[in-house]
Amino acid sequence: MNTISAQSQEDQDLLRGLLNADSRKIRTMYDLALPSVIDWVKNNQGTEADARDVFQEALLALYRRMKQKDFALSCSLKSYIRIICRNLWLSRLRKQQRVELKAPEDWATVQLDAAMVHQTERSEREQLFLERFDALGENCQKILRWFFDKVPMATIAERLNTSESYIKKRKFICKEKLIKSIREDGRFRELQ
Amino acid sequence: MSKQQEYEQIERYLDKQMSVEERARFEARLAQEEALRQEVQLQRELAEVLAGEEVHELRTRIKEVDEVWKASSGRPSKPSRSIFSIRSIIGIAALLAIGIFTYTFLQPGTKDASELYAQHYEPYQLLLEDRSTSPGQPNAQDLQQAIRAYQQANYPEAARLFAALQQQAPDNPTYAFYAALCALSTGQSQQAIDELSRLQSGDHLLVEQSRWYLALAHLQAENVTAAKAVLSQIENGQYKYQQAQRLLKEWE
Repeated sequence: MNTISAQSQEDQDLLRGLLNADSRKIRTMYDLALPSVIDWVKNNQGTEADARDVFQEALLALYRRMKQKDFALSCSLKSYIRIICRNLWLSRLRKQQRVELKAPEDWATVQLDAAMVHQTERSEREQLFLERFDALGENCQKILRWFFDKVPMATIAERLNTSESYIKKRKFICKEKLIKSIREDGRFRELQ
Repeated sequence: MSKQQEYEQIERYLDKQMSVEERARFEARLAQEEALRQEVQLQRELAEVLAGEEVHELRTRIKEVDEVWKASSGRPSKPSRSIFSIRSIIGIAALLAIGIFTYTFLQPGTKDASELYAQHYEPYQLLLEDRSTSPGQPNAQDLQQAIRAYQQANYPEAARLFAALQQQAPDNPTYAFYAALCALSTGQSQQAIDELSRLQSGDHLLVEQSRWYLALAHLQAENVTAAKAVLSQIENGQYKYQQAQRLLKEWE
């Protein structure tokens, strides 16, 4: 298990809470950082909904980063989340060629490590995959989740009370549908 | 080669299940075919993004919190001291004491339903506190009172207040959910089972939570067969799926 450290016990608890998908800690992170992210995104050509999207993406990116390898937070968690959000929003604006950003000075002093920067860069592509996945039907989602988790086809068939050959066929159909919808999404080419 | 066969070949390649010869042939194709390279890359990424039930669980939790946060118009939640009120602490301590006693003096592995219930039950974290409480709403004051009673572990009073809210808004699954939890906390197993059973379908945010607490309600009613049936419906990645799997294993 990777080591997670932060400057304060409170931030450390919140990071652990994120790793454990603890709703209460996630809510605290919302209260802590989202209002300032909303203000900033609104000041930079976005809406509250944009800010909430970016915030969710940032939490997932932070989770992925902590799962990758040891993670040491060298500033407050609030500042760290805000800078991830800033980078994500900046990236979106760049793609839309609207890049005049007004960042508060204290935000600019926070540095993300290379792994976090990489995770942030991947994040948009990941979000696209997840969005397209969410648009699949419930059974397709189940089959693909189990398939990607290496659950044997026979077990999936048993769980869904059907035959293994049917599940193999369904898995192919679902995966093809997912890949097709990703490729057809206008954002896919931009994110290559 | 059909598209399906090609997909299966890519999957075998990514899972390192190809023989040396097959792998060499496939890599030779990869070196020459740009479209195949792109397909492999996309499928590799998909596997990385979609694998891991924890990620799906985290996304579900984040979406729930986001919904609640949005509904509360971003008003910060109150400090959660009430979740650990004196009564809650006494209750938890009592449960722990029962747990330690049974673990120490009774044989592990022969736990009965009520022990398992005591071991696994914990009050649901109250995310409701800021929701739907804008001053203009007719039920805002009632909701505040219900929340306060729930947070103070005054479950009989909370049950009465949530039942009243349910009457005002029969389609609100959240009120029904908390009413059911209050019933469970006061030992009204059948009432909790009835309420939670009704919440098993429908498009609302508490379906998964309702399933877990329905299983606990069956345990409280000492109906292990029904509890097992409900637990087996809790799929990977859903609320409390790891605990559900552990419980099911105990009975194997």
